[in-house]
Amino acid sequence: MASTVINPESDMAWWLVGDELGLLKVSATSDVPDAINENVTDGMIIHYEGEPEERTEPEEYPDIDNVFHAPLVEVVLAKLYSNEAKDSVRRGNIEAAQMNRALGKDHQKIYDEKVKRLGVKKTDKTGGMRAIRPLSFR
Amino acid sequence: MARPLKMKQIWDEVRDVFPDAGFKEVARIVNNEVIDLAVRLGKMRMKTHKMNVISGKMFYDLSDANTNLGINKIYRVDFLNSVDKYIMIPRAVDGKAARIYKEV
Repeated sequence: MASTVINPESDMAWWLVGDELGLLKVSATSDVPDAINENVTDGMIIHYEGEPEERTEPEEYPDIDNVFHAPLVEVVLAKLYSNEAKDSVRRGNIEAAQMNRALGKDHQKIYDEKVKRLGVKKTDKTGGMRAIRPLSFR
Repeated sequence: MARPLKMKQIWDEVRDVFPDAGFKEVARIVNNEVIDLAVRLGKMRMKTHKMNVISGKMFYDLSDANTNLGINKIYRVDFLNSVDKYIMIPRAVDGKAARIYKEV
């Protein structure tokens, strides 16, 4: 259903209580906030900061800035080498375990260095130099 | 200019070293690490979500347990007006905003 609220900027307000979003309508007759008394399909849009999306398809891109895509290969290798080391220990092959562990650490180190180097750079696409431009009266 | 990599390309590069690595395992590690990176570097995503407004309902549950939105911080709410435009509505510090507006 469509909305009948003419001026939401002055008639509506929101606030947060724990994990819940409170939505109130200003009442002309009472000081107590009231809930809105109509159903509105897609009646509100919340703008929020959220965690990156999970990717499950091969054709998708990881949901993070592309400077971090290549380092992700290093961290995957580090984790897989670490898993291999654990398996080698379980099989009683200590030499292989030590080698896998060392390789895992190498990849983890490369990953950490890349993240440290790239993480401090301004990579957001919304950047750019700001300047105050006075209004022209011409 | 960094080269963007698809999940498949990451998987292919991993398979050069671990030919038996499954896509699901690689994707799980990548997804976990992407969330970890976003939290560590403060690179959370700005997102929007449309919600239905229900008559008589004042509180809308946004917890991670009951929604799959993964909300960390809400910074703005827009409400649909009578001419189908979304207008930003003010945030009240607590639920007593009604009194403030009436006095203004």
